[in-house]
Amino acid sequence: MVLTAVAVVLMLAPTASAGSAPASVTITAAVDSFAEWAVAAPSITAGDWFADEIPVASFSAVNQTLTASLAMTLYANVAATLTPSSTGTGILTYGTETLSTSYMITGNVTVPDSDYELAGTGSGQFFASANTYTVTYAPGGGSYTINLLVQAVSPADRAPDAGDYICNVTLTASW
Amino acid sequence: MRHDIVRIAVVVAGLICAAGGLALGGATWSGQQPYTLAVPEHITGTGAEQARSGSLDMPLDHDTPCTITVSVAKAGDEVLASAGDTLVTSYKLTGAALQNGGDGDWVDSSTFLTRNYSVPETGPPDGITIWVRAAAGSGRANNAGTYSASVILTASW
Repeated sequence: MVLTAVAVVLMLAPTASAGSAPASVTITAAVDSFAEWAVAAPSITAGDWFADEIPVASFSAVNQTLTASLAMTLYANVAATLTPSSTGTGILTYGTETLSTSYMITGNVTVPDSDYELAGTGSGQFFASANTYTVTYAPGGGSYTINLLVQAVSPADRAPDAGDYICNVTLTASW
Repeated sequence: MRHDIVRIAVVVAGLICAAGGLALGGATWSGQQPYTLAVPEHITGTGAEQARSGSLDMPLDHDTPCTITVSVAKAGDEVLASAGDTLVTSYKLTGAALQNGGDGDWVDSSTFLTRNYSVPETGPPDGITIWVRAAAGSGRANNAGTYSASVILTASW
């Protein structure tokens, strides 16, 4: 009788009844405010130019106006300010020869340009310190199209030297 | 004499039950609770290269083999979200006590809810580690802010 009781008690330990133990885990991650260009160093090349909406590869006359545009994507989750600048003059140049160069910004900015502005840092010019653009940020948007349009005009009184004219523009997004 | 033997038997059984602070045959989660896992590094851009991860150790005290399942209190809780915006969320569960060591690679959040992890052995508290990876979406910037998710790990036996 006694031995039976001991055996029954000791056998209880390994005979576990079914059960469960839940544990809830709360997880957090943070996204900071930021703005970044989808493509860091895009380019406008010879095949991007138009004359009166007709694709052209190069100038072929005096006083000829060519235009090109570049649609850029800015990823942003905060109101950003765009400031144009250039490591040079922003004027299309080949050796000592230049083309009259102007720019405008359109797209998702609060006040898009309605006309071209000459490359330069003077008042009313594209690289003037006061010439900035505010991205039309909207919560949940996250992606904005910024168009950089460039216009180049060959001299009216002489043929420019033949060659590849180059310049650069930097659009800096600040927040 | 008969009463003494019975008393000894009861004491022995009581010691077995008390070992490890467990109920008779079972499992409990220990360590600092409630469990919170904050991904330490913030996301500061778009795309998969902005993936950030963190982990949390969740000791499991058990004196019987058990199985860990994953669930949520309500649909979608497993995805890091903030005011309708979401991050690409992945998980891993690892630990030497898990059969085959658990997950060898990241598991997407919906697949994670279907996982069963076997803890075949009994013994001292086992270190179970939950890992989470938060990745920014591509094609747009996620809203700035704190994203949260929650999952429930249930040890059953």
